[in-house]
Amino acid sequence: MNTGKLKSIFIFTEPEPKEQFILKENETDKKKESDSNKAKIKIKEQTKSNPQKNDDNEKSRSKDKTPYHLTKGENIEIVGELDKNLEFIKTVFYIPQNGDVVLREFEVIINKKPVPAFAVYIDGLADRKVVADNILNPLMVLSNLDIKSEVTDIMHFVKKHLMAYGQIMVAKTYDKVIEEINFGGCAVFIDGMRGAFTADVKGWEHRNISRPNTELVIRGPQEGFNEVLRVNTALVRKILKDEDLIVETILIGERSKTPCSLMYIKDIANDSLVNEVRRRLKSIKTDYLIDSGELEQLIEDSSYLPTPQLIATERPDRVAAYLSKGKVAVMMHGSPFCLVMPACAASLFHASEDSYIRFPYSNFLRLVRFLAATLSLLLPGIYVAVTNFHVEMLPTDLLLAIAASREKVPFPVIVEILIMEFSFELIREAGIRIPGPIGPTLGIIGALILGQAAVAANIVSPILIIIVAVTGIGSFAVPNFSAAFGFRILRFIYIILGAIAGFLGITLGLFLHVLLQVDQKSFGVPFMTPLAPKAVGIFSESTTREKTWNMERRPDYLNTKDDQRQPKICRKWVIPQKKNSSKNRKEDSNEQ
Amino acid sequence: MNNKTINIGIFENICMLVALTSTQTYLGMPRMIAEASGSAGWMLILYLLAISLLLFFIIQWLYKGNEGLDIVDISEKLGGMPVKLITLILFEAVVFMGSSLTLRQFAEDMKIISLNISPISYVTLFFVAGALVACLLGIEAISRASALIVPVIFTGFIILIISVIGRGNILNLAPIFGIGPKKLFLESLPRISIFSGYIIILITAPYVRTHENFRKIGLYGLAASGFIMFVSVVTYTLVIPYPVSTQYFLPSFQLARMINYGRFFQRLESIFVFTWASSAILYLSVLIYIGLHLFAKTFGLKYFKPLVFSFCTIIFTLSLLPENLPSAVHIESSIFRNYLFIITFIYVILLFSLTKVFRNLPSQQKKRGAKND
Amino acid sequence: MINNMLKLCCKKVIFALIFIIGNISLYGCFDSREVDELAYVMAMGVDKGKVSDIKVTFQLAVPAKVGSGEGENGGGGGGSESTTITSVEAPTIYSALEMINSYISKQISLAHAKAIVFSEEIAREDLTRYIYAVSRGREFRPDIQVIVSMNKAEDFIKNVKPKFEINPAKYYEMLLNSYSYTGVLSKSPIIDFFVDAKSIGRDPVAVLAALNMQSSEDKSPQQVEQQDMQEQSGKTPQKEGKNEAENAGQSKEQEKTNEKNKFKEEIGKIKDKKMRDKLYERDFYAGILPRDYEDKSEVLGLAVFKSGKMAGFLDGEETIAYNMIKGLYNYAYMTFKDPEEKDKYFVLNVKKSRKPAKKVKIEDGMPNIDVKLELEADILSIQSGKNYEDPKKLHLIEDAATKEIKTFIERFLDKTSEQLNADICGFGEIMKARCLTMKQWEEIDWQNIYKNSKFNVDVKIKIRRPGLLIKSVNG
Repeated sequence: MNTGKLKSIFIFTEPEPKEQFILKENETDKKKESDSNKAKIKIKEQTKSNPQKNDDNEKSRSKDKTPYHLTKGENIEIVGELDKNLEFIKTVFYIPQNGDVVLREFEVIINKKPVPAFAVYIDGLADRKVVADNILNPLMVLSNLDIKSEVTDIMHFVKKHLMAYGQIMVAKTYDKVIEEINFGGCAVFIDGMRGAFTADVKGWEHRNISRPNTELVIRGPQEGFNEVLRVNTALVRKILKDEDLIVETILIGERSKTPCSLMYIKDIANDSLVNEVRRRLKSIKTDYLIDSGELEQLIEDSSYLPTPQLIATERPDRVAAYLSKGKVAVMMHGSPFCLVMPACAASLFHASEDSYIRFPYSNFLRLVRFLAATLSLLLPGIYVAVTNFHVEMLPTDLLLAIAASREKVPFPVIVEILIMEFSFELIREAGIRIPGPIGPTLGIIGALILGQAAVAANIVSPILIIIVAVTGIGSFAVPNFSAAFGFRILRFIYIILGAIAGFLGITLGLFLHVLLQVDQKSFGVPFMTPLAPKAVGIFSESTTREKTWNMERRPDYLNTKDDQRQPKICRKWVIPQKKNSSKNRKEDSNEQ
Repeated sequence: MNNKTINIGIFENICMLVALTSTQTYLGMPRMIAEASGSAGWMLILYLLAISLLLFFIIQWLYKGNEGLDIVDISEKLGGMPVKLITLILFEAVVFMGSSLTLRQFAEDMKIISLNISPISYVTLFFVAGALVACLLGIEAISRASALIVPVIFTGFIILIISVIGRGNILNLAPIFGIGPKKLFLESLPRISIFSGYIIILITAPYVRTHENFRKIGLYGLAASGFIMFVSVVTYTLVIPYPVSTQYFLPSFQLARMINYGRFFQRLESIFVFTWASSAILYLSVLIYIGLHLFAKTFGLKYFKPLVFSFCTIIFTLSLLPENLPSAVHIESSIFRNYLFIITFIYVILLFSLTKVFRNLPSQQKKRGAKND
Repeated sequence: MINNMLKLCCKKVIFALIFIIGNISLYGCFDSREVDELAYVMAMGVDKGKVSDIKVTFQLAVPAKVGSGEGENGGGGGGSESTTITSVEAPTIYSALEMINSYISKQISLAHAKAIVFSEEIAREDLTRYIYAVSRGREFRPDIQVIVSMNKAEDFIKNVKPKFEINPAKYYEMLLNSYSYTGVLSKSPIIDFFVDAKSIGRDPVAVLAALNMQSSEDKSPQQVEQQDMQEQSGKTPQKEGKNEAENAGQSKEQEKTNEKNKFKEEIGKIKDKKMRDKLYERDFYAGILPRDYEDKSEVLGLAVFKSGKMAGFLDGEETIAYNMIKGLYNYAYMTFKDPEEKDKYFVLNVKKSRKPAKKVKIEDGMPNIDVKLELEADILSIQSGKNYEDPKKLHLIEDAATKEIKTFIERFLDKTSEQLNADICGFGEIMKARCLTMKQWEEIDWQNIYKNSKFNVDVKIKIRRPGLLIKSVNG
């Protein structure tokens, strides 16, 4: 029994000096904006000529990476003797015990002399064809050709003239090589070279890009993420063709070394937010990390609260929209769900379709979703409260009908409700695992027939079936899966509160719920923005959707560097054109 | 309590102020006003509102040099520990009496409305539990929660008024001057105590930082709560005329009971339990927080969280002290509300003006000297 | 070691807390009452009792008969099976609730009571003591209608057998809300009664109800003939039995004749008062409506109260006048005598046009009251077939109608002031608006000077629409 938490409520202990992260507005943001605009132009010109960004990424990656347990071969430099290298690689990868590690020895012609070499890759992870065509072929066959070059150093010679592949890196230490091979790379060792070439030739079997499973829309793109990190980042980059979109790689997990990508747009997102996310990601020390669900629980502010503090989405267009608002996204290899932070209460009710359909319809839908969430949370509790405490509220006809149907039922209302709720949860859970074609039919049949049978057997009253069904349907209408789940659990607390003290109990429950939500922070942003604290001005993420051509500013609470999203009049065709008077014509002709 | 990091906006403060003052509309305030003024309740409310706005104007004008200081800091500026203690004792008296009496009345309300047979301590527990959790979470949570809840309460209030006002008879406002102008204007002056909820701004002044905000919050908050009280008193008088209006213990409950639209919308008063109960819990949270904040700051305590349980237990016990409901109502209307304005208005004005007058006191000069160095 | 002690202490504290909270919440569902644990009262009746002060009648709903929708044919015999009626003698209403628990298995809930019926005896003695009890209780709706019954309340409630509704509460609600489409009924929710009883400037009214005075056995004409033949032939088996039967028969016959005589008497009285040989639709009050229906209960007219005691009652015409002056009037069908053909009628659908304008002054210690009514009407029927729709001749029927309405309004106002001294239209409230302080108002002493009031009534009718026929042609 965890006495620590309970103890801390009743016996006061001084809080540890934990850093409380608050997303503050930078006072120099506005100045920075003008500066960055000027600097942007310069940088654009520079980057067009120098493709240096990749190297920068690599350097930062090598500096910051601190694995939990020492990878074998860390900081051991690769020697020039091929036999020693071969020995080392054979012991490290347990060749020939490890069946799928392929070791190919061959010879390269350099300066008209054959030099022994070998290549290592893991079959299944590396693309065989690419290895054969682009690495082995040039080295083995094309090195025979008369290459006009004056480079004598082996490394530079091979790199510049013989490795006919794009993503080649030179590794000086063994650990880099091992890492690369582990993740589908191919390493080439050449005798006399104090280093090795590593090529990224990933080519394993994976799922195709298909429809997103959870977020279906009628109007909008139908692509969803799959499990490959590079494919996912490519999908996002395809939408935001912005050079300021930065995709940082961070490796998390000792055994799994899962690469995660931290995405943000550099001149929009608030720096402190990005730093905070990066700090949290880098300070995770765990064994393995399989899915973004685990990652979410590791970096969110509090796992006890009923609502999620990050948005998990499967759609690249949604991620792109959030990024352009100034949020930060984290993608993980092996998971089709991308995490977007910070989240706030209003985004729990947003679906990506809201931007694509016209704004009155999307506002109506948001209202429906909100009502559905309220129903799924409160309806059984209110039913118990009304029938047990506030009978005078019901119209007399309805009351007599309920009394008549309850006359035959042996259980009190609260027991009835709990039975029905639990059986509904049972059906729901079982429905996930029922095999094949029986699945959906059994769900519907189960609900209907069981319900009818229960009513006929006088175990429950008919009105309760309706209530439980409406509650269940309401929880499906909430777009965010975690939030709906939270409501499903809180529903039981409201039932008990309603049975204890009627509406007073439910009011207390609502008040405490509101307090907890309001106190919650998601990455430094208070969770219930924009309702409390109240943000002033027209902002593009709120409870109701603004007209598309009116959404000029980015959300205020993100404290982005650049506030303006579109100019005041974004539809230029609205401005009437000037009529040509005689004066104007003269001026025009003068200009021309 | 880190003053620099906590930031409370204008809207949240206004909501807290409204929560403190307009909760009385759900208790016995319309009845009290009807007793004090006959059928001219609306006139009395406007008169009291004007006076309290004037007094607040004076207060905020006197506050000018003290930006970013709350009332404890100002007392310290004036005379150090003794003055702080006086302020503490006076305001703590206000807090304890106000919250325990309100708690008792709201619990009795609930017993009348729905929970007839439950013991009073059981019902009181619900309110205290809500206030407890709110105080544990701190002023930020309370202010944001009020920014969310007070508009909902206000909407519920407007719905109630709109549904009932059709039954009103304009003749019930007669006679115009009610029980007589002399009694109305002179003898009812102590009733400005109903607007004493503005003291929340004296506590959260450091979190709003500027004097401009201080002024805005006070004026808009008082105006908003005055509006709510005016509308409720007018509706109550219109629907239930003078001599009968002094009989009902729960005026707004009685109004809610009279909602009758066709055969379906009847007896909907229990829906208003949501708004009334949340208003009550919010009122208690804010008031108890004021008490805690003053206490902790006066004695220089870094954390006020350990005090929350003790305070709540004391207030819970105090609320059970009056023997019966009429005596609790009597204590509140005749004793508490008659003398409250002395502490919240007169004492505050006195304190601020003394601070301004004695600006050249040696202790202050020393401080200023130290600052300059 | 201290840590261990703290740990133990904590565990104890936690267990204590769970115990307390569990206790409170589990046994503490104090007020929670299941829907099927309550018996719902639809209507209550208060009579004078022999053993105790009053006899309280409750009409309880039987939900199983009312609410069962599966497989049964709509509740069998309508409203009669869906309620049970019980009476108990007790000193006050609440003590009746206490006593009733000895034979009713469920707890009584008054939350859905729609009407409370007082007998005339109780109303003439003092009604306010029971009104106070009902006003103080939170279970009662403020909209319970106060009904005064000329017969015993118990008899009235027993005779309420709604044919169109299964739910008796619905019957009461619909019946007592019918004032919105007829003029001869009005409403009297208890909150208005309570407020009016406590105000100086107004007096309360209650809805008048009774059982129809015509024969209390419902037989078809053939059955009546058969019985007459049997009585004439007089073939009965034995002498003693014959005597008894004859006696019983005689007393029953006497009752019937008594009732018939009473009925004739009342009708005669009305004819005298209204100076009409054939009565109009608005001349009746509850109990003497000349009709035939198996349901004996009827609601028509108002009972007028002064200082909590019943002072008199109003018939249909006076109720229309009351509604008009109070502004509650919506529309009603009214019959008037044709101005040119003396034995034919014309019928108008008289609606309200504007709010009534009332002015009250005090001259020489006597209230001088002006009432101005503006009405509009549609022509429903012109029996003589004359072309009254012609705008030139329209004024004829307008004038006839105006005169008739003015007459009965003046009659009504005189009745309230001279005969009953009860200001039910609320003129006192208008007088109050002219005072500046409560003191001035109290000095006027309205309750006593109302009987000396002088009335000036001005009625205007404008006929707007003649229905489908815009012209009557002589064929």
